[in-house]
Amino acid sequence: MTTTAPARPAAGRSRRPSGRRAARWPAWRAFLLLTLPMVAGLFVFKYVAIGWGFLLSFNDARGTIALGDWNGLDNYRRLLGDPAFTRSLVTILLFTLFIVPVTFALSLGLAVLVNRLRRGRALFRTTFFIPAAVSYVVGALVWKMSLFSGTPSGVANSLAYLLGHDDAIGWVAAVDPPLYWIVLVTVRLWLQTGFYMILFLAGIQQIPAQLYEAARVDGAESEGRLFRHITWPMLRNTSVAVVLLLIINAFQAFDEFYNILASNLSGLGRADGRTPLIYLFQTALGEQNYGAGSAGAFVVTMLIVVFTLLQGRFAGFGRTAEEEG
Amino acid sequence: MDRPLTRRGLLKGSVLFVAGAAVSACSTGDPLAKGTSAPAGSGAKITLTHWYHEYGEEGTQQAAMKYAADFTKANPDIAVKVSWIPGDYATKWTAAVLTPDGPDVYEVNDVSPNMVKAGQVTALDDVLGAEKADFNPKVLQPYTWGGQVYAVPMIIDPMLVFYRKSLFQKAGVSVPKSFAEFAAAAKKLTQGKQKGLFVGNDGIGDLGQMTAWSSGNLLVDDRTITYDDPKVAEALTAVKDLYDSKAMLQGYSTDWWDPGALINGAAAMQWVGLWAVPGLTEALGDDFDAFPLPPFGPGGRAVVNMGGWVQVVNGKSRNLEAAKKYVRWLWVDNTAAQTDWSLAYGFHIPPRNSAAAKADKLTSGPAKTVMDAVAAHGIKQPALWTPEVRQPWEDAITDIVKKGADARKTLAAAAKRSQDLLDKVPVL
Repeated sequence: MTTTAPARPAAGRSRRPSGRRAARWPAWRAFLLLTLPMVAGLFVFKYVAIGWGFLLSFNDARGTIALGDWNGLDNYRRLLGDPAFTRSLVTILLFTLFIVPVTFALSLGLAVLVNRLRRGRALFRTTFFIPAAVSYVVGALVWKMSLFSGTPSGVANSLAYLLGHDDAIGWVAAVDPPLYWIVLVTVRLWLQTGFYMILFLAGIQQIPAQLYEAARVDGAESEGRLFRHITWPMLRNTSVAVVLLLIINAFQAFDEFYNILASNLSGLGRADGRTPLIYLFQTALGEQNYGAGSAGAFVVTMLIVVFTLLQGRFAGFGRTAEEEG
Repeated sequence: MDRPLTRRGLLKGSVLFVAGAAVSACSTGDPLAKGTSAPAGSGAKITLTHWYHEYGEEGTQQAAMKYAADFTKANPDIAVKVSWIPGDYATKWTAAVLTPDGPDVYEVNDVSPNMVKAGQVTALDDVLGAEKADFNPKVLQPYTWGGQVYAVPMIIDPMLVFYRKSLFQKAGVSVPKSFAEFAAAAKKLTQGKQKGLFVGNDGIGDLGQMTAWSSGNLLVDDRTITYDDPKVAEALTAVKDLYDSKAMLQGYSTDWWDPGALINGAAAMQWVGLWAVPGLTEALGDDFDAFPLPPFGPGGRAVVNMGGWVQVVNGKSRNLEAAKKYVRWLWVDNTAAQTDWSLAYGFHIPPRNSAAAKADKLTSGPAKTVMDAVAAHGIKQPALWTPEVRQPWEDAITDIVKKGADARKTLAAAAKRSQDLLDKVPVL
C-alpha cells in the first residue's frame, strides 16, 4: 500500500498523475476488499491442498494424509503398472474422442436451428437449456432406473419389445456388446448439449447481420455457403472455448459413471466404464491409499494439460488477429 | 452501484458478513449427517459422536438414538450424538477419521492392518472383557491382529439363496444339491417375465466369489493368494455359462440386498441376507425358504457368507475411555439392546452366543433354515481379502464371465497382482 496519495496535491507539474492515482485508490480498495476473501479461500482450500497432494504423491500414505513416509516414485510406478489404471485412461480417451465431437456437432446444430426460428425461439432455447439445470446425479438415476432399467417395463425395453425384441435387456449390465455406453453417452448428451448450445447461440448473435447481407448481395444464396463462409469462421473463438470445456469435462467424468454403474453397497462398479476418477476415488477413499490417489490425480491433470495445450496449438486459442498476420 | 464505499457502509457490511459466517459455521457442524440427536439435559461434560450407516428398516434410527439416550441416563456426564449416514458410508467414514474431528465410535465391515497402523481403530480387549468367550469366534477372528481384538461385533448377517417355494413347485424344481443342479434350476425357472436368479444388478454380484468359495478355495490363505487354481477357473466358467443362459435378472429397480425382486416375482431365487426375512414373511407368508449355495464339483463345500457390522473405537478419539465405556455398555453388557437391534427390525444373528441361543424369532420357519445353514456352512471372509487386494480378482471375474476371457490366463495374471498388493500390507 505504497500508493497513498498526498493529502493536498502540490501545485504545478506533477498534479495530473498523482491526482489520477488518488482517484483510483478507493477503487483499488474496493477491488481488494471484494476479491481478497475469494483469493484467500482459493489459496487455502485449493492451492495448499494441491501442493499437499503433490507432496503426498511421493509418500506411502495409507490410512493417513500425514507426510513423512517418503517412497519416491513408487506410487506413480504402482499406478502405471496397474492394468486397471491404464485401462481406465484408455477408456476415458475413447470416451473423450467420442463425446467431444458429438456434443459439439449437436449443440452447434441446435444453435443454428434455434437461431433461424422466426417464432418461439425463447421457448425452444429454454426447452433445450433446461437439462443443463438438472444435476448429473438426478439425470443418471432417471436414466438408470426408469429409461434404461433392465426390467421389461423400462422405457428402452418397452421400445425394444415394440420393435420385436421379446427378451428384456439389462442395458447397464451388458458389457458384451457394451450397451452401457448407450446409457452413459445419451445421459451426458442430454445434460450438456443445451448448455453449449447457449454458448454457440450467443456467439452466433454476435455476428453482424451486415456480413450476411453483403454475402447475399455478392451472390451467396445457399444457407450452407453462408454457414461455411461466415458463421463458422466467425464462431471460431466460441468453438475453441467450447472444445476446451468439453475436453476438460470429459476427462473429469465421474458423476454419471458412478451413479449408473455402481451401487453403493456392492462397491464401485466393475472394470468396464471405470474412468480414472472412479479408479482414484476407489484407491483413495475405498482402499485408503491416499498416496497413490494423489499421484493419480496428477497423472490425470497432466493428461488434461497436455490435451488442452495440443488443442490450443491446433486451434489457436487466445491468438489475436495481428499475431496471425 | 457506483456509490462510493462509506465507512459506515463498510462497517455494516462487515458485521453482516461476520454474522453470516457465524451462522453458517454453526449449521455445518456435521454436514454429512442426515439426522442427529444430541440428548437433552446438557449437563454432560463429554459428547461422543457415534456413526451408523443408514439401516433400511423402519425404526432402526430411533432405536439407535434411544440406546444413546439410555446410556446418558445411566452416565449423566457422557452425552452421545448419533449420526445416521446415508449413501456411500464407507468413503465418508474413511475421510472423516483422517481428521481430529472424526467420529469417536463408528461401525465397519472390515478392519485392515493399515487401519490398525494408522490408529483409526483401537484394541478393545478390555471392552470385550470376560464376555469375549461368549462371542462367536469365527466372527472375532478377522478383527484380531497381533493377538488383540479391534472390534466388537454388532450383528452377523448371513447371506445365501432365498427362493419362492410355490415357483419351485410349479416348475417341478427341488432344492439343488450341486452347482450344476442350481444352474439347471435357474434356467428352468426362467419363464416369460420371470427370471430364475437374481444376484445383483450387474448380473454377477457376489456370485463369482461365492462360487469360487463353494469349489473349496477361499481365494486367500493367510498371506498367500490362492485363486490361481484350475478349480476356481472351472467355477468361474460355470458362472459364465449361467450368465450367458439369460436366466439371471439384471438392472432391476432395487439391488440384491432388497427382497423386492423375489416378492414381485421378477426372480424365483435371490442371493440375499437373513435381514430380509421379516419383509419376505410379511409379503409372502410362508411361500419362501432358503438354501446355502451348493458345493461346486467333487471337492466343493456349501457356502453361507457371514457378513455383518462391527463396532470400532477411533484410536484418535479425545475421549477414548468414555467411548470404550459406551461400547462396552451397548454392545457387551446391554443384551436387551443387542437383541432388540438384531431382531426387532430386520433379522440378524446376535454375535453373542448366549443371545443367539435365546433368539426365539430365529428358531422357526425360514429363519431356522438360515440358522442351521450358518452352523453347518457359514464362512467368514478372510481378513486380508482387503478392497485393494480384491480388485484384480473382481476385474478378472468381469473379463471371464462377461467377456469370455481365458479363465486360467486371466486368473494367473490377476493373482500375481493381488499377491503384490497383499505383500505390501503391513504385518502386525
